[in-house]
Amino acid sequence: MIETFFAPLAAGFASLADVWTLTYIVIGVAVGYAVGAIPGLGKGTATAVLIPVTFYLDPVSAIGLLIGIAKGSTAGSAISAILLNTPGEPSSAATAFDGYPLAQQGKAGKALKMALFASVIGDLISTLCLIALAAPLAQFALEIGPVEQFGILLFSLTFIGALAGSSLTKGLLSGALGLLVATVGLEIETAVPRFTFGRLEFFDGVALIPVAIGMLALAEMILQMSNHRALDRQVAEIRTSTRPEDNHVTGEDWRRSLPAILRGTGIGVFVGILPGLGASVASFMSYGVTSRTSKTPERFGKGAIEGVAASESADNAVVPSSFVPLFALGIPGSVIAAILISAFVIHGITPGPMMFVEDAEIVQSLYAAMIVASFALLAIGLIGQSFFAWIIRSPMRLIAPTVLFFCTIGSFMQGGGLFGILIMVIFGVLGVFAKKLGYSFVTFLIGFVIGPSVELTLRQTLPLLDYDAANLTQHPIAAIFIAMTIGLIAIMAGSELRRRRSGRVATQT
Amino acid sequence: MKKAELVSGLVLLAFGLCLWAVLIPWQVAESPDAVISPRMMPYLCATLIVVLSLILIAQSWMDLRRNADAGPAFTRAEVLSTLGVIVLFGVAAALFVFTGPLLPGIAIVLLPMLALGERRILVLTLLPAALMGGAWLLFYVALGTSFQ
Repeated sequence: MIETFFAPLAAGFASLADVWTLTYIVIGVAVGYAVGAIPGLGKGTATAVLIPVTFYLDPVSAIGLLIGIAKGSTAGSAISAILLNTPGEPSSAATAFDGYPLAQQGKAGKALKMALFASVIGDLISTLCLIALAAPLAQFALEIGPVEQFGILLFSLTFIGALAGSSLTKGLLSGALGLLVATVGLEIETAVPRFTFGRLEFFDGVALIPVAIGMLALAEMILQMSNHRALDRQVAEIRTSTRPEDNHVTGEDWRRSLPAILRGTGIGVFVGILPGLGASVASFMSYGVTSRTSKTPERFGKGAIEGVAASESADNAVVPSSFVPLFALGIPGSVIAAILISAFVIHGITPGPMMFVEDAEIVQSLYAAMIVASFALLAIGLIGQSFFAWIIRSPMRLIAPTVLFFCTIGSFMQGGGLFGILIMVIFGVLGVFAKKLGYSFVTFLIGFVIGPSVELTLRQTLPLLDYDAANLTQHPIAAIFIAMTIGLIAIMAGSELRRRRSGRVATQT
Repeated sequence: MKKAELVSGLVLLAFGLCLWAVLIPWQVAESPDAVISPRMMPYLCATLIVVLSLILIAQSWMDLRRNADAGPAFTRAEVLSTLGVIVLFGVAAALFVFTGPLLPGIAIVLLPMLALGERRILVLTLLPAALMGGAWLLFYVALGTSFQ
C-alpha cells in the first residue's frame, strides 16, 4: 500500500524537474487566484477560456496549468467573500458569513490568511486522498464490462441531475438535453450523420469548448454586465486596516480553527468524490457542523475565525477529490472535471482506468504537479494577497470586455473559427436562460460530455443482455446501480412532493 | 418566475414533440445494416424531454394555482445585456468577414467598455491595445498560428 502510494509520486517528482513545467503550474495558480478573486469569474470560466492557450504545451504542463487555475481560483474566491461580502464563487458564500464581519471589524488580513492556510491544508490532504484512491478504483474499473459501465454512468448522471439543479425535473431535463446535444455528428456504429443539417462543421459533433465557454463564461458576463453598477458600488465600499494585530493568525486562532480545518477537509474529500454535489454543499455542510459543534455557537456569523477555516478547507478539498471519478472511471463529477476531459483529449489522453496503464508516467507527473500546485498556492497567496485584493477593485467595465475577448479567442481557436463563436453565443444565451430559470447547466455539460459513453455502453449492453432486462441478474453490479438510480429518483420525487405539499399547507394557513 | 417555468416547460414540450415528429425522421437516416438504429438515442432523449417537460408543466401549473407569481424571471437590464452581446458578436463577425481579425478584436473590447460607461481616452486606448498586442505576441509570434 505504502509502496503503491509513494513510488508513483517519487517518479512523478523526478519527471517534473523541468523548470518550464513548474513555471506553468505557478502561472496557473497565480492566474487562478486572480480570476477567483473577481466576483462571478469562477474556475469553470477560467479553465474553459484558457484551454486554447495550452494547445501548444506538453500534456503535463498543460493540465498542470489548468489544475493550477482550478486550485488557485477556488482559494482566491475567498478574497471577495471576505472583503466584499460577495463570494467569487458560490462555494465561498459560507466564508462570507464570518469573513465579512471580521473585515468589518478591521481584521480582514487575519481572515484572508486563515482562509489561505485552510485552503492549502484542505487542498493538499485531498490531493493525497486522490493519489491513494484513484489507482485502486481504476483497477476495479478495469475489471467491469459495458453493462456495469452503463449502470454507473446512468447513476452518476441521475445523481448529478437530482442534486445540482433547483428541482429534480429540471435537473433531469438538463441531463437529457446534454445527452441529446451529444448525439450531433456521425453515429458511432454506422457513421450516419445526425442533426448535422448538411454542415461539415457538425460531423465531428458540437465542440465542447465553445459550449462550455458560452454556458459558463459568456452567460455569467451577460448577467454581470446587467448588474455592473451594483457590483462597482460594493467594490467602492471596501475598508482596510493597518493595525498589525489584525493581519496575523495567532496561536489562539489556530487552536480554534485546526479541528474545523480537519473536519472540513474530511467533508470536502467525501463530497468531492460523489459526482455532482459540488463545493457549495461541502462548504455549507462544514460550516454548519462546525457552528453546531462549537461551545460558543453564538459567535458564528459575527466574526468567528473557525467559520472561515471550516468553509474554506471544505471548499478547496472538493477540487482534487472530484478528480477521483474522472481519473479512475472517466466520469466527470464536476464542471471543472468535464472541462478538463477536453484538455486531456486534446493532449491525446483518455481519462479513465486505461489512463493508469497507457499513460502511467503522465498520471504520476500530474500527481506531483498537483502537490506542487498546493505549495504554489501557499507561496502565491502569502506573497500576493494584497495584490489580489487590489485586483478585485477593478470595475466591471474593464473586467467584462477582457473576459469577452478571451472567450472569443478560445471559441475561435477550438470551435473552427466563426462557427465556434456562433456556437458560443447560442450556448451563452441558453446559459442565461438556464441560470435564470434554475436549469442546471452543470448537469447539461456533464450529460453532454458523457453522452457518447452512455450511448456506446447502452449499444453494447442491449445485445449483451439479449434485449431482456431480466438478464441484469447476471450483472449484479449493474443491477445495483440501476436499482440505486430508480431509488434515487423515487426518494427525490417523494421529497419534492412533500416540499410542494408543505408549501401548499403554508399558503393555506 | 413560475409563469416563466411554465412557459419553458411548454417550449421544451414543443421542442420534444418536434424532435419526435420532424427533426429525427428528417435529420437521422435509418441504416438497414445497423444492429441498433442510429435513431435510438435521439428518440430516447426526445421521450425523456417530452415526459419530463409534461411533469414540469403540471408542477408549475399547480404552483401557479396555489401561489401568486413572484414576478418576471428576467429584468430589463438582463434582456438588454443579452441582446447587446448578440449584436456585439454579430458586428464582430461581419467585421471579421470583410476586414480580418484586427477590427473585430478591437470592437469586442471597445464597444462593451463604452456601453458600460468607460469614457477615459487613455483606458479606451490602452486596454484594447494591450489585449490585441498580447494575443498577437502569443499566437502569431510565440505559437506561429493566426486568426484566419
